[in-house]
Amino acid sequence: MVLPKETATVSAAETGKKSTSAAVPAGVAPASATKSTTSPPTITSAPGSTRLIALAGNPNCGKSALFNRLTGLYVNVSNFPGTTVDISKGSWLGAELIDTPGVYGVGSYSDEERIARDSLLQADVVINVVNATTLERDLFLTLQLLDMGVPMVIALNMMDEAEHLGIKLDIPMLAHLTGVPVVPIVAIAGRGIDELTKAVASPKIGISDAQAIKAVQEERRRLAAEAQETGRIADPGRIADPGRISQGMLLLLAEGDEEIAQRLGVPPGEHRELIYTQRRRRADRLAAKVIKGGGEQKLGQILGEWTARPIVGIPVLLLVLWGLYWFIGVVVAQIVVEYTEGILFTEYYEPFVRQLMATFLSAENFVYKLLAGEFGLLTMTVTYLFGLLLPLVAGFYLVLSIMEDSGYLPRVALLTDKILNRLGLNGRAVIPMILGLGCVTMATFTTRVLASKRERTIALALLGIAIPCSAQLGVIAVLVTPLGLAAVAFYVAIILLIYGLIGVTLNRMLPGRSSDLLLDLPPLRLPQPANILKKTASRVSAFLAEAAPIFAVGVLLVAVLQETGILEAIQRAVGPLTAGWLQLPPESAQAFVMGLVRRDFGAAGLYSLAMTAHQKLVASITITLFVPCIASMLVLFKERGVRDALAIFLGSIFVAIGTGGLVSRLIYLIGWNLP
Amino acid sequence: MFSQSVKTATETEAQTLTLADARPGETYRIISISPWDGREQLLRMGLVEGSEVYCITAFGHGPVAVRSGRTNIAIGWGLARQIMVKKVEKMASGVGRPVGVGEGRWFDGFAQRNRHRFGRRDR
Ligand SMILES: Nc1nc2c(ncn2[C@@H]2O[C@H](COP(=O)(O)OP(=O)(O)O)[C@@H](O)[C@H]2O)c(=O)[nH]1
Ligand SMILES: [Mg+2]
Repeated sequence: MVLPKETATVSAAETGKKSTSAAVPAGVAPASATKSTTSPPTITSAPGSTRLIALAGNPNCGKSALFNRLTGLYVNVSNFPGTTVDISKGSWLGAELIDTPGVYGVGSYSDEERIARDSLLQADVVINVVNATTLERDLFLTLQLLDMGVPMVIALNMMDEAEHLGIKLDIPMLAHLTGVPVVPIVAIAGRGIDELTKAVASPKIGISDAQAIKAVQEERRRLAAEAQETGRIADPGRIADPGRISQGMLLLLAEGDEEIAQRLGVPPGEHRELIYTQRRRRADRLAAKVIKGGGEQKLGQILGEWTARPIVGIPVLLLVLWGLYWFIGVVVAQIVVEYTEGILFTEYYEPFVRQLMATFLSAENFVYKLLAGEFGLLTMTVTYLFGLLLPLVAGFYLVLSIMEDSGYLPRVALLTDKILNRLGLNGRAVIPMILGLGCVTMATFTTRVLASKRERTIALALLGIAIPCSAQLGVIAVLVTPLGLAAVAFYVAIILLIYGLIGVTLNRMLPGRSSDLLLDLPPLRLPQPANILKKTASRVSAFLAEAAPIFAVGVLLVAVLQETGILEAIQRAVGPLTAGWLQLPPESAQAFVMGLVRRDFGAAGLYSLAMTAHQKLVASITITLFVPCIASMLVLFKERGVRDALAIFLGSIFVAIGTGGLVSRLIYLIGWNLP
Repeated sequence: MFSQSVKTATETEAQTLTLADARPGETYRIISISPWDGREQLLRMGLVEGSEVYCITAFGHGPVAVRSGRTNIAIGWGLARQIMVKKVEKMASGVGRPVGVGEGRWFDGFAQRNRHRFGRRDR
């Protein structure tokens, strides 16, 4: 990924101001900086102006919180490692600020690391965000950045939590030992931001480890020798001679980074083990000198540990699931939707629109049908989108955000690791899976946190086939919960069974072995209401922005199909499948056609059909397993290519129809009389 | 379960477990980590020969969660089996790795790792 450095140009006027702002003595700037919002202080006084500032830090150390604080934008802040899998860019002080995925070190073990590495290699200044409560761990990356020789500043985050835990830190000592400015901050409260702004104006190249420098020099010599021999170095556009290759590149080469080696056209270096152990040792030594004691176990830590133990963890997990069911299935799906969809939209909004349209058009007119007919753009589409799906999606995201921010999800990862191992995944996969319950499309991106291609394939197949998204789940909740708890349990059991079967089968089929769980368990934190609301709002609006146009197109499509009689032809053609095999009303074909457009749309299509309880259950199961929506298919294409995407697409149709028919017969077989 | 004093190489060998065998509530010192892919990541996260970890929870044939310094880390079974540990009888403090870990301690672990290797060769 290339981030063009030219994008953030600094105007001459700003450059002029730059020298003055840098000359301001420490301690004066904050007030003036906040007052003069029209001309924020720019960053360097040096002639080569700063253009790209990168935030770097361990997962979950607060980079995104700081990013939001600095840029005024909103990117997701969550209390679990691996939220940010993509780069977010914003502008700050006339430069480009980028939020990178969290990593424990710079390398190329995963996609996240590669993304982080490349943006760090390009950055002019790095703000290393360090969690003050986990210094020993975080310092490893810090020291690696020092060894890379990038101009940097350390933002010592979570100082509030450190104080709360009674951790005493010798901050001048940390600055002394690293050779770079250290600024204590509280990203979520905005404390220390002014000081950080000032410090970023004069970043420093810190103290590299002697061993690392030696390795870098050795690599430089090796490259020079290689260059002389072959007469050239790969990547000629950027690197003219070994003398000009950055220290960072050379360090990564020395550490055996294969991609960097490939870029330079030489075999990777062999110093990793030595440099890494040396660096860990230095990190521990530094931490020992900087931490002046403290570190009590407070409620967040104690609860965090108890919820990780099965004795407490499993009952809590069940309780959480029950709460989820109660809130979505009962409160939102029944009480709220009853009002919004049943009364607000169906009784007030739709008749109003019809009346209005009828003053212009006759009810037989095609345009009238299109806008206000059975599948009307202004009637059904709006009702489904706002009356039915919006409350469900919002409710779901609200719960999800609370779970994310409390730091509970990593516990779920731990508790489910053993089961997921059977499916060829590890506990980490639970995060994309749970996010998948929110939106499969978004979760598809998060599968990048999984270590191997094998795991990503399995996770994507499971997401594509057996994980319903919130909108769809919501509609299904509306359909199934009135049928009683037994029906809900049956639905869940069947979906879980299919889920397990797909996982186990793929685990057997795919070559290789999946990786093991290695996950940081952050403390439990009280979620911040402001963040929860912002996150829910941003996700809901993302949902609407994505769903609304596709919905509209889908509705148009169905309306046209209906007008031209094609829909009826399709219904007749697939009759043996729907009426024969699935034992559903013939009109359900229409819902499946809609399901091809979007799964939730398909589920919404079922919603309007007159069906028996038995049919509702079968139809719900079938549509859940049915094809992923267009948006997630597109992401699948992008992430995995045509073959995998097509396999998942066809596989899901096969699994859905197959299971639906079998389940329908099973219900008869066991003589279950649904209400 | 095990004798408290460490005297000979063979005795160290006898006391060596893998982290997968760890029991909740006990503290262990890491003796060696097999040199494969997970090793680097463990090193980055703060687990290295010589560091002490407190076992928070262990699922039989499943993951373990340990506290090292002030971080809690969940480690899958396969990876935990690559980590050779020795039980530490007395917990150093409320946290796994004591704050004052320094060079000496690190070398301690290093020496032990080698001793453990020799022990294995003896057999
Ligand atoms: N107490 C406290 N919590 C913070 C602070 N900064 C971030 N957090 C929390 O730490 C978690 C991780 O933050 P996030 O920005 O998503 O971290 P990232 O993974 O590095 O981007 C979230 O739950 C934040 O609310 C801070 O300064 N103090
Ligand atoms: Mg983030």
